[in-house]
Amino acid sequence: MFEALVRDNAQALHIFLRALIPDPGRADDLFQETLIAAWNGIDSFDSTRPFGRWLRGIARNLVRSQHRRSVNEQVLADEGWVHVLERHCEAAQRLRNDVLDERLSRLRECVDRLPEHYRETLDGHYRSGLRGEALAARIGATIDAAMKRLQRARRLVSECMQRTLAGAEVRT
Amino acid sequence: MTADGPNDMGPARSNGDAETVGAERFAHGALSHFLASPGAVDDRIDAALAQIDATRIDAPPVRPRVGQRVGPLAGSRSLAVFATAAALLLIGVLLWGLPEPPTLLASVRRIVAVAAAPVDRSYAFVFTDEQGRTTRGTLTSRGADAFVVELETRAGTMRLGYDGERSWLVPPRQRMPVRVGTGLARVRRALARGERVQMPFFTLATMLDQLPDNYDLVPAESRSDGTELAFRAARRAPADDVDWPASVFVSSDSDTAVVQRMRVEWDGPRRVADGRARQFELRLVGEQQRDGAFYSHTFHHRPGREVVQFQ
Repeated sequence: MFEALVRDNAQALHIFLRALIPDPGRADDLFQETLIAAWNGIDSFDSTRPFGRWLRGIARNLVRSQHRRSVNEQVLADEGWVHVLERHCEAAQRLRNDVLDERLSRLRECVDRLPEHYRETLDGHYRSGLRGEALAARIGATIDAAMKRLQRARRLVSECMQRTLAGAEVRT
Repeated sequence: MTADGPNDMGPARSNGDAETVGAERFAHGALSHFLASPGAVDDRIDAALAQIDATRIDAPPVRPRVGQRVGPLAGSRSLAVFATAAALLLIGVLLWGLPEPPTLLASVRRIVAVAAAPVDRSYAFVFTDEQGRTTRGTLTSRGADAFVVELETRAGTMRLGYDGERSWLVPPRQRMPVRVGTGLARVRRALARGERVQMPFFTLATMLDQLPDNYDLVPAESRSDGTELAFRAARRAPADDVDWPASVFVSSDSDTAVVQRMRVEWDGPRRVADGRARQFELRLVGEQQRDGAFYSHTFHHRPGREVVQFQ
């Protein structure tokens, strides 16, 4: 039962942590720690409430505790935008898993529709894991321009996804 | 300033526009989830569930608290426990003689023992350094006692090894002297300095020997025909003295327990792409009985070449 709940809610939790934590490796470590903490605290779970939201609450508490351990860690668990992020995850979580998968496939379509130079930037960053200077070298731009292009590409994808999200909510 | 996180969210964040930043962060998380990490979520779930299972297996039996009421119900539960135990005993007797499947730990111990046996095996390897640069070569070892590494460099093949008593390095350029010593530290340093290949171990046996006690072991997906036993190992805590890798993947022959493939990673596969960590991947070439002299430096250079002590 626990495993089934975890698998149903895993994607939204993973997106939440990847969005929250700058370092993808640490985000994945926290993902794993969240599941173990959830198992250890399963007695406190109120089964009338959404499991996914409870999981993300645990994740956020873990992030806060990490923040206390390391003042240099760029963890922003208490910033205002985290509530907005949580709302987006909640909206994604309300979808059935197959719908969420379809949504993520549409994310790919959003990326594919981007102009070539934005696509190349996103691919370099997210698929090849390039950062800063390496990303700039890959796309033939200055570091500053690369960062701006990455930001712009992400914003375009975000807008495309919101349109897609609105469309899917009408259909579901 | 990295490109992967809040630092690069720039204008939206400084404007304090939580709606925009939140939506962009969600897009960032979804992109990161979808584009960069196929299988990462399932792997992490499996690892967490394995850890949970291990905790449950290791948990001490639940004992009644002091002062716990003992009454008729307790008596009937005792009866039920007795009946269950008797049934299990009966099943045990009926199944007596059937071999139990070995635990993963037992299988790993067998793999360690086979790797440590004095059999000559060769593995092709690829070492990837922190900058993503690769170095290829062949490692031939006889258990944990002797080895020869043949490394492809720009100047040609560099050979280094250990014959059980002396370590040695034969540079590819003929005019360079062969260097010999007694320990492995200088070979290791020379390798790291010249070829940027930083190795805490030179034989599979040395690495595998670490796994039972210092790593958490989790079964990995193996071939469905039963010919493969694969597992992953994650280091429990950073070692103080030796730079042991963070994770190890091993695929072995389920019959012979000979390692077929092994991949060690110092900080996870993503970090190689980030240019911040290294990995070492080996694949079995074969078993071939070698003369003991193969592990001595004299086997690998022409007679008369200058030989000096490591400095």
